Amino acid sequence: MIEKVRIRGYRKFKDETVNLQSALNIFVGDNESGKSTLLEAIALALTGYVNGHIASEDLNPFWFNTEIVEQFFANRRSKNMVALPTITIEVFFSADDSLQRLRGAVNSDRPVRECPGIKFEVAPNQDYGAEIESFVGSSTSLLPVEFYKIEWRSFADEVITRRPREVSVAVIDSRTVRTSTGVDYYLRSMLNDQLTPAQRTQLSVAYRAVKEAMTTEHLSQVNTDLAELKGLDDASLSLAMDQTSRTSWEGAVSPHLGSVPFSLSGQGHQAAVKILLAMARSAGTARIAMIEEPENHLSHTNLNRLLKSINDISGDNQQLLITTHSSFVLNRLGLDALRLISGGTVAPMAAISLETINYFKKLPGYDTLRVVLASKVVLVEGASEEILFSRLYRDKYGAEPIEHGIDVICIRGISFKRFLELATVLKRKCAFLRDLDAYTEVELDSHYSEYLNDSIKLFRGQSKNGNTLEPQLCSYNTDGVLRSILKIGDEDNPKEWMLKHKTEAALRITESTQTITPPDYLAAAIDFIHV
Amino acid sequence: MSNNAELILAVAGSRKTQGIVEQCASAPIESRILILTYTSNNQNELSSRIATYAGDHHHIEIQGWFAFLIRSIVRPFIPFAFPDRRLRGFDFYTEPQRFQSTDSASRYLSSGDKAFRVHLPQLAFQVHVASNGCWLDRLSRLYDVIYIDEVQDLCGYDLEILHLLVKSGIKILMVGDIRQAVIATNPQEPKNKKYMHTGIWNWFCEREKKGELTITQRCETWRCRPEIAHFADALFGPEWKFQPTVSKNTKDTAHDGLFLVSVDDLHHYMQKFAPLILRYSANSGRGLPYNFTNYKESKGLSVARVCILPTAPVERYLKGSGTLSTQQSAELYVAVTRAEQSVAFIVEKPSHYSIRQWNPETYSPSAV
Repeated sequence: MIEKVRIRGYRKFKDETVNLQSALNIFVGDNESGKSTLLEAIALALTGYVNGHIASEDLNPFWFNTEIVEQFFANRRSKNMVALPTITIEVFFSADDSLQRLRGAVNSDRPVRECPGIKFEVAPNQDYGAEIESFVGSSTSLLPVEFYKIEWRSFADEVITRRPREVSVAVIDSRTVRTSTGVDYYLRSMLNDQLTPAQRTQLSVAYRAVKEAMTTEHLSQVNTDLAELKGLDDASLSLAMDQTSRTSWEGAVSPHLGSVPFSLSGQGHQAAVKILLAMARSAGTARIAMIEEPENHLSHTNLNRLLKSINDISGDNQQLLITTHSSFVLNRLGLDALRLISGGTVAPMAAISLETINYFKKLPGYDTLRVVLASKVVLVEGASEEILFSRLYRDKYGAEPIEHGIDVICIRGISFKRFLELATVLKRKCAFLRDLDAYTEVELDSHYSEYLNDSIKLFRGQSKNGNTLEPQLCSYNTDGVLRSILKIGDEDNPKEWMLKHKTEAALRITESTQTITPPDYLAAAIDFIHV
Repeated sequence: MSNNAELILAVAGSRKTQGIVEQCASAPIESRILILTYTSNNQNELSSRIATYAGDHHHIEIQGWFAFLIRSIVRPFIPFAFPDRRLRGFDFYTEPQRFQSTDSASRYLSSGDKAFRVHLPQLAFQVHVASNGCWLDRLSRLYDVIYIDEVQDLCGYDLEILHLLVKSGIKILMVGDIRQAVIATNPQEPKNKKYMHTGIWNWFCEREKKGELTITQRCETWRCRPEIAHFADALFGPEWKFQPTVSKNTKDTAHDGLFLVSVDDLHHYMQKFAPLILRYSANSGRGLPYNFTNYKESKGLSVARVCILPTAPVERYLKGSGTLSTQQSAELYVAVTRAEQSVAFIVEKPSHYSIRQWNPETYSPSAV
C-alpha cells in the first residue's frame, strides 16, 4: 500500500507530501486545486504513463511548476546561476512482502529511512550541458525539455524500465474510451491482469492457429493466382497472415458490454466496468485504483450501486484514491477518508468521530462538501434564515455572502453538532444561528459550549425579543415598516402573518426596496463572519 | 544445533556446479533462487547450464559476488552510511585507500560515486552496520534459497558478509573445494588474511564448531582416473582431514595415469594427444610454441588429457626432494585435476624422477 507520496516541481505541486490511508482516500477540492494532478503524478510514478501516453513522449514544459520555472528564469536573468528546475515524484510503500525488490533507502526521507518505493525524476541530461545553457541564455521562458531525461528508479536505486509487476495500478478517469479496439492502456493492463498465464497462453496459441488456417485454407487460392507475379530473384508473391506480436489476439479482441462494444456504451457504464475490473484483480500485488469523479455520467441509482461495490471491496488489499465533487460520494464512502486539496497543498486533518461519519453515511444527501470547500460558513436552521441572512449581509456589505467566500448553509433539521464537528476539524470560521425555541439562553449556550471558540460562534436572540426569527424581527421593526416590506394590509398582524408564511415572508423581505432592521444577534453574526 | 547453512566440500570433478543446477531443476517451479559465484567464467557456465536444465524455472537469478554486494547491500542502503551519496558505478582499478579512515566515504567511493573494487566488501559491511542489517530482511523475503558456488574464493570482508548470511536464517547452500583455492575476491585486503585461499577451511571448521553451519564432504570424482586422484590427494597432508577421493572414472585408453615427457619428445606428444597444455604464468615456457593456459585459469575446465610445464618447486616435489607451500599445492591440484585420463609433466631429464616416462617408440600412432 502507498503510505505517502512526495511531489516536487510537478505542475501545481512545489513540494508537497501527502500521507495516504491504507484503504480509502477521497480527495476533495475546488476546480484547479490539484486533485487530478495528484492522481496523475502518482500514476506517472507507478506506471510511467501519463494520460495514456508513455511519459517520455508526453514530456513538455508545462509539467513543471510555473512558479519554480519563473523563479529560475528570474534568477538567471539577475545572474544567479542556479540549477535548472527538476521534477521528482516519490511513492513510499509499506513493507509488504511482494514489494521487497523496490525496497531501499535511496529516497528523500531524512533521517535516512528505508522502505519499498519508486522515484520518478525529470532532470536535465548532463550530456547536453552546453546546449541547455545556450538555450536558457536566450530570451525564452520555457524550459528546454528536449534536453531533459526521465529517470525511473526503485528506492533500491535500480532502474525501472516498465511498470513493476508487483504494483498493479488502475486509473479510471471520466474520459470515454473511443479507440478502435475500445481498449486504452490502463484498460488493457487491467484485462491482462484478469487472465491467468495459462488462459493467456491458450488464447495466444488458438489465435495463431486461426491465422494459420486463414493462410493455408483461404489465402491459398489467392496465392495460386498471385504466383504469376515474380520478384527480381524469381521468388513469387504470396500473402500470409501477419504473425508479429503487433497482431496478437489482444489487438483483435474488444470488450463488449452486453452485446454493445465497450467503446460504444455509455460513459457511466464504461467507468463502472473499469472500476469493477480494477478491483477484482488477483491478489499478491499492491493493488491501487485511482478513480476520478465516479459521479460523472452516472444516474443516482447507478452511482449508488457503484458506491456500494466500492465500499464492499475497498480495504481488502486494495487501496483506493478517489476525487469527487459530490457530497453524496463523500458521505457514502465515509468522511474519514476525506483529504482536502487547495492550491497544491493537501491539508492535514484531525480525525472525525465515527458517530459523525456514520451519521452522514446514513444521510448521504447532505451537503457536507459545502462546509469542506467554503472558507467561511454560516449555518442556519431553515430556508427563511438562509434567504434573510443573504439580504441582510448585502444591505451591510454590498455583496452576496458567497462573493466574499461565505457559504450560507441551511442544515434543515440535521444536528448542528455534526456540522460543527466538521467545521472544527476543517478549521473553518463558522457562525451558526439558532432559535431559542423552548430553551433558555444559558441552556442553549452550554449545549454547544464544547464547539465554541474564537472561530466558531453561536448567535441567538434574547428570549425577551422572541423565541424564533419572526418575533425577533417584530421586536426590531415597527408593524408599519413590516407591513410595508411584507406588502400586507392593516387587517393582518405582521407577526402572525410571518409565522404562517415563513418562506414567503423571507422572500418578500429580500425583494423589498425597503431595508429591514436586523435583530442584534443577526447583525453581530454578519459582522463576525465578514471579518 | 540446527542451522540453515550447509557447506558441501567437494573434490575436483565431483560435479559441484552440476549439483546446484540439478537442485534448481528439481526445486518447485515457483522457487525463488539466487545463485552467487565470483568469477564471470563460472557465472556464464551456470547461466548456460541453468538455461539448459532448468529453463522452466523463471525465478532463478545468477549474480556475480560483487554484483550481489552492490545490488543487495550497497546500492539500496548506502544512504544509511553516507546520506546523500549514491552508487553510480564501479571502479575496477584504483589501489587500496589505506590512508582514508574507515568511516570516510572517500575510502570507498570515487568523486564520481564509483565504488572502489578493493574496498567494496568493506563498504558493504559498513552499510550493513549503519543500516542495522535490513538488507538481510529484504533478501530473506526475496529468495527462498541462496546457492554460493566456488565459495572458497571469498576472503577479507566477504567472509564477514558470508558470516552474516550464514547466521541470518536464510537457507544457504555453499559449494566449494578448498584444494582449489587459488583465486581470491580481494587478495590485497588485510582483513581475515589468515583465512584467505586454503585458510578458509579453518574459517568453515570454526563456524561448524559453533554450530552455525554443517559441512558435508563429497569425495567421488567422475572426472579423474584413480591414479590422478591419488596424486592430487597426496598434495594435501592428513592434517587437513580431507577424505580420500574415490574415482568413478573406469574408462581405459592406451594412455592413462601420470607420465613424464622429455622436452625433446614434447612436439611428438602434443601432436599425438593434443592435450591441454598448462603453465604457471605468462612468464613460464616462453620458448615453447604452444597455446598455453595458466594453471589458475584452467579452473573449471574438464579435458581428457593435460600436459603441465612444472615450476621449479613442482619439479623438486616430483623428484621427492622438496615440499610445496599450501598455495603451490592448490595451484598444482587445480592443474592436474583438469584431466580425465592422463597428466604429463614436461621435464628436462626424465630419468631423475620416479614417474614413468612416455616413450614415443613404444607408441605407434595406430595404438592410440
